[in-house]
Formats: sequence, structure tokens, C-alpha cells
Amino acid sequence: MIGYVGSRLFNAAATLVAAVIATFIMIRIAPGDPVLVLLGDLATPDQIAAARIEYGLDRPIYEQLLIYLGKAFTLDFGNSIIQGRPAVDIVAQRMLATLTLGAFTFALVIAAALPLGLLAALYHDRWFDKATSNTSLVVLGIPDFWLGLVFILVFARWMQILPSSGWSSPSSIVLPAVTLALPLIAVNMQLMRNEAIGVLNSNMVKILRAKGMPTSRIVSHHVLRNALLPVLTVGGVQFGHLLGGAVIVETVFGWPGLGKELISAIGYRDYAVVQACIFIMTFLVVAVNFAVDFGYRLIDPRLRRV
Amino acid sequence: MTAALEIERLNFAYSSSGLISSGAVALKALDNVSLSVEPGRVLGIVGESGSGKSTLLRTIVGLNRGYSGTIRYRGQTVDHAAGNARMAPFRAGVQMIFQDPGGSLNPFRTIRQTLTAALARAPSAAPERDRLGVLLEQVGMNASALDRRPCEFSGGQLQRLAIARALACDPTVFLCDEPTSALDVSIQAQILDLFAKLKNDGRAFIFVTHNLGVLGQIADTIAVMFRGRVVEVGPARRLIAEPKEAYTAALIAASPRLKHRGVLLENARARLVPRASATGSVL
Amino acid sequence: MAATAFSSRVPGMRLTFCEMLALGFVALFFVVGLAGPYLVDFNPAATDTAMRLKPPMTTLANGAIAWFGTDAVGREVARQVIYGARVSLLVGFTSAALAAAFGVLIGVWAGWAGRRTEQVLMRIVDIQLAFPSILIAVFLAAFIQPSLLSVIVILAVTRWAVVARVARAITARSLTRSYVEAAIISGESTLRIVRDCILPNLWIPLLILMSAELSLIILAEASLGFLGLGTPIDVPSWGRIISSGRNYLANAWWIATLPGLVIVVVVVSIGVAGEVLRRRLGSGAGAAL
Repeated sequence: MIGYVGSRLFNAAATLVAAVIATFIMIRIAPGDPVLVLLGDLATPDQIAAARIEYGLDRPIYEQLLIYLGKAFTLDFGNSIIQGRPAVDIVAQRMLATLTLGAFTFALVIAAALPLGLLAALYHDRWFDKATSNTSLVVLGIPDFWLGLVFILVFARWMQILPSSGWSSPSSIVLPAVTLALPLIAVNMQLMRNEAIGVLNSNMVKILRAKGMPTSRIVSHHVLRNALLPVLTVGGVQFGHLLGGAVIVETVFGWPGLGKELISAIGYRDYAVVQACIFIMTFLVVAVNFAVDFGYRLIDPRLRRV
Repeated sequence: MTAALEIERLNFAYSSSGLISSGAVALKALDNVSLSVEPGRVLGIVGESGSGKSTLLRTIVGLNRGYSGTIRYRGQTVDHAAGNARMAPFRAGVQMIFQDPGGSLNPFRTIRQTLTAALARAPSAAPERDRLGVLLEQVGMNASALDRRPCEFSGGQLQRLAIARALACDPTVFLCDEPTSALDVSIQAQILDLFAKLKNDGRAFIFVTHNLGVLGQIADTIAVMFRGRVVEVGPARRLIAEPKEAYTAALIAASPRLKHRGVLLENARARLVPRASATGSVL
Repeated sequence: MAATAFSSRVPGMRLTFCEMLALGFVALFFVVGLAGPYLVDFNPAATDTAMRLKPPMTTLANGAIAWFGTDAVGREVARQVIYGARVSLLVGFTSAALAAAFGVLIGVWAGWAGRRTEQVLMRIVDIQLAFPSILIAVFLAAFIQPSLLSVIVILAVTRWAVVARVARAITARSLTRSYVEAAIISGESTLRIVRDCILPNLWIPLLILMSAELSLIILAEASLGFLGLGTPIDVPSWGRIISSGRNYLANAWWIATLPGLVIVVVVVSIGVAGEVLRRRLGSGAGAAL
């Protein structure tokens, strides 16, 4: 177990380092002087000279990389050229908004996907199952930015029951969260359905049925537990998708999170903030994957012994 | 007479290693195996699953790298790492027949394509006309098979075609890995007859099986393997009639009657294992 | 789904009404993407402020009917969608082909080499797959000047890993087949074995996989366009049309919504078509995914 955790931690760290190196390479590839890329076009000659020394741009490339890695892992990404304060402070603040949105979305996904998937499994091949299957297929074909705009149009413009943008009141979270949640609900519902069908067709459940156990008890005691584990395994990947979706959905709804910050920073060529965003988002993906992997091992007795 | 194929003190271990941890977990699959087979003779190798008999064949043909020991083909030492020019006589001269019927036939190509490619590898491309037809006749098929693909044949036919593919290279040695186990009994007999015919042409066979009955019919010499080692080797008739090793006796006793199999084999294993760890090799 | 089923010429292969409709939409998308710009004119510079923000089905000054209405500078939305289809199709196919080629190369290499090479390559694949592809695309687009080529390359970079994983699995499984072992034993060259014994196993699963990848790439291209990180301004893109309609949601809903509807129809149709493909080519191929 300790060896396992060690190797997982190594993987997580390696991923983070790889992301920082990739960012370093991208900055070099980007057209123009790296200093201007880092500081923006508005930098004064003094600032440029100072940055050249700070980032070691007069030194060999591998030393530059080491300096860059050192800065990244001490969360020193420099100041935002737009807001004039450390990029990491801005990003830390934005992270809270994204995590709030993420938590709310996850709650929605679990509350909707599990019962729907279970129902679809219980009514396997009946109209409910077919209808939800087809709906899922369509939902997964909908671009999330467009769905968000349609929601704004319907609920904010026409019906005027929900705010369209920003985070001004608690109800502001509803539209972005629902937009983010819908595709995830579709995926998880199908996953839950398939797992539950597998369990319902297993010999174990057949025996329980033969012994006369009521369906409700079979579902609550056996199907739910056995079907839930495989659904949880993909939780890490899904968090990644959530973060990816957040980039778009936050932009649509003006939700003050990491994704919106990243896109607007790219627009302003505010590279200190861009790098900070990339680092933090990578860190979040890696950390959640690690936690899900680790937690899964604690829950599933079959894996605990390995 | 020079042996067609001779192996001396062959050792091989499967290893597994992780990306970071290079601590190899070695599994000894072949332990000092020495055997040989002359032209026109059949060496049968018998043993339970995991005894290393398939590993032996795979090591001989070069599918397992990192073995130690010597493999000699017609007196010449075989070096699997050598270039194709030096290895060509061995690669044509030693042909493998697999357990899955026709497994050596590429499912995406017609029989004609497969046989033509195999003929091209033969050492002396004899300018004989209609080689394909002759080949198919030799294995009891006819030319109508040529333009079909493997999925259109039955198991027995596929095994015949696989033999035709091997035969195309005019090999000296056939390595057969359970070639009849996946076939019906009546078809098994036909294939064994085919092997007997090829044997009479002067070709050597190493015939791996878990089925002693099959070996009784075809083998001249039988080697018994257990956990990577050759436990006993001797003339087929003698070995079956009066086995010297208790494990061989148990294997023979177990094969016709399923009833006592478990107990007898367990006892024989228990007697063998402590001794094996003490002495290392039986040969 | 419609209950009526039409039997097609292939035995055992029945298409429902919805599936036929989907195949029709896919065909329409291909035709419009390929030939559309030759059939209708669209000049992004030709603005007509008198005809701005007209709702769908309006008859314009020149007598043409604006099926999808007009945008803020009086250009027809439908014509932009037709031109956008070409970019969508172009980016979708070239990106998918690039991703397939690179993914197959890496996957077959990993499966063939085995051991440490395989572990290292597959670890890279796993790391990439832990990230959602849109995030990778945005990260990359942050540093690269937007151009048609850069969008194609970026989207290919985000999709190759899935292909590599499938290609590796199929290669590894092919290698255990006797006919591949027989080819190795007889000393055939690696290239020939890969070409004759391994790649033929790959085509059908790859075709099915790429049909799914195509719709994902089309969605991603639209998303990048929406975020302003996609193709440059002079190349029309579905995502950008929708983005430009954002500011007019209150008084011109059609600019943002109708092109999006087209995306939904195209993507869902490709998904259904992929399902038909999977069924026709056999479930054995689907199991490899």
C-alpha cells in the first residue's frame, strides 16, 4: 500500500512537472521575445531588464528551465500586467468560485444521475430506458456554450426568473451549474444504468430474488453498492471534464472563476495569470485524480490487499 | 548421425518489472533442459500446464529472448540475434505448428498469398510447376482451397493448411505445440497420420502435448517435464510401460483414469518438490 | 425512436427512421461542407446595416429569403453557417486524420516494443487522458497565434491519446495470435508484420472510433471559436457566429441559437451514424473499444 501511494505520488508530481515544462516550451515557441510574452507589450525597459536577470534569460536553456520550475513550484508567476498584483493571488481567489460551482454541479449530477440510471436499469429496454438513452445521446451532442446561451435566453431574458451573469445572488449559480451538470448527468446516468444492469443480471441477485427478497431491498442493499464503485472510479476523469467545461460555462455566464480568468487573461495576453491558471488547474486535476484513486482503494476491499 | 535439433542446458526465466522499480520478479520456466531429436524421429514432451513444455518450443524458435544454453540445428549453433541471412536456414528448417487450428494463417490473406509467401522463404526455390497444388495434395487438400481465406475452413482443414504452410519451407524439424488438442478425436487421428507420413520422409518432430495417449501413438522418445525441468526421458514404449520416476508413473496412472488423478498427482508432486529445491537438476 | 423500421438491402441490417434521418443529415453536412461555398456567395465584408438583425424568414432587399435571419451588420446567418460547415468539416477531418496517424504510430510502437517503452508511452497517454481535451486545447491556444493550421494541430494533439490507447490494446492482442508469432519466427521484417498482420486488425475499430472523434473535434472547434481562440476572424466558424450573437440575445435570439441547433443536429447525427457503422461492421470490432 505504501509503495502504491509512493508510486502514485510520483506520478502526480511527474504530471505537474511535465505541465510546467510544457508551459515553458510553449512560452519559447510563442512568437516574440519571451520576456515580452511574460511581461506583456506594456513593459518598460527597466522591467524587461530586471526580468531578464530574474528569469536567467542570459543563461543556458536548461538553467532557465530550472529557474522556471523553481518559480512555478513556489507559486511565483509574477504580477498581472492588468491588475498589478501577484497572479497567484488573483488565481487563488478565482479558484474558490470554480470549486463552489464544481461542488454544486457534482451535487446535481449525483442527485440526478444515480436515480435516473437506476430507474433505467430497472426498466431495462422499456420506454423510460430508451427515452433516457436517446436523450443522453442528444445532450452529449449539445455544445455547452450554446446550451448556456439558450438557458440565458429562456430563463433570464424571456421568463426573467434567474440572473444571467455574474455572482450577485445565490441563485446566480443555478444556470451555470445546470449547464455544466447536464452532459455529466447523461454520462453518469448511462454508466450507472449499465453497471446496475450488470448487477441485476448477476447470479447473486438471481439467488436473492429466488429467496424472495423484495426488489426494493435488493436495490438498496446490493445493486446500489455494487454499481456505485465503478461509477466512482471515473470521478477523477469527470472532475477534469468539469474543469474543462468550467472554462466555457464560466465565460458564458461571467462566473468569476478560474476558467473565465484564464480566457480573459489569454485575451489580454496577461501571461503571468495564464501560467498561474494553468498551474493551478493542472494541480487540481492531478490532486483530484490522486485522491479518487486513493479513496477508491480504501473503499474497495478487493484492491486493498494489493 | 547428427541430431536435427539439439538443445543443451537451456535456462529461461520470465521476468516482470515495473516502470520505476526494476526489481525483477523472475519465474524460472526452463531449468537446465537438454534434449535432442534425430531426423525421422519424434520426440514427445509431456507435462501438466505450466511445466514449461510450450516455453521450450517458443524459446527454441526465438520468441523468448534472454535464455542461456545452446541450441544446435544440424550441428550448427543457433544465434537468434544474428541477421536474417545467417538465420534463414534455421528459420526455414524449423517450423512451428500451433494449437489453435490454422493459427499460423493470417486471416486477412488468402491461402494462396500465405503459401506463396512461405514458399519464397524455402531455401532452394525448386523450379517445380504447381508447387501450391503439390503442397495442398501432400496435406490432403486440393487447389480449390487456394483463393479462400482461413475463416472459410473447418478446424481440421485449417490444421492441414497450417501444416502445408510449414511444409512449404521444406523443413527438417517440426515443432508441434498441442497440434491436435483443439480437434475432434476422428480428425486428430487424420492429422496424426499426416505427421506419421511426414516423419517417414525423414523429418524430425518435437511434439508437445499433455495427452500421453497421443504420444504413445506417435513418439519414439518421450521426455516428461515438471516445473521447467525434464524429470525423465526415455524410449516411448519403455517409459510408458516401466516409468522410472514416481512423477512419470503418476502422470501415466492419471491419464486414462480421471478418478485417482488428483490424489496421485498431489502425492507425486509433494515427493518431488522438496528434493527439487535441494538438488536443482535431475538430468 | 420511431417504431417503423425499414429493412435495408443488407440482411440483418435494419435502419430505423431516426437512423436514416441521421445518415441523411450527415450526408447533407458533407455536401454542404464540400460544395456549399460554390453554391452560395458570402462576403464577410459585404454589410448592409439597413437589413441588420432581421428575424428568420425575412425577405431581404435583394429578394432573397434570410432563412436564419441576419446578424448585427446585416449579413445572412444561414450563409455564414454554410461557410462555417466547410471549416468544421475541414478541421474535423484533418484533425481526426492527424490524430489517427499519430495515435496509431505511437500505439503500435508501444504495443510492439512492450516492456519499458510501452510503459513510458502509455504513462504519457494516461497523463494526457487525465486532462479534458478542451483544457489542453485552451492551454495550447493561449500561446499560439490563431490560424486554421494551428487549430487543426491543437485539436489533433488533444485527441491522439485515445487512438494510441486503442491501437496499443489491439496491437498487444494481435501479437499473441499464432500467425503473428509465425511471422516473427520466420524472420519477417517488423514493417511487414505490422502492415500485414497488425494494421488489418486495426482498421475497423479505428473507423468506429474516428466517427466518435469527428464529432468531438467538431464540438471542440466550435468551442475554441466561441472562446475566440479558434480560427482567425476571416475564416468563418460556427463557434464564432454563436459568440457574435451573444450580445444580441435580447433582441436577435436567432444569431446565437440557430447555428447552435445546426451543430447539435450534425454532432448527434454523426453519433447515430457511428452507431450504425458499429452495428454493421460487427460487434467484435466494438468490443475492442
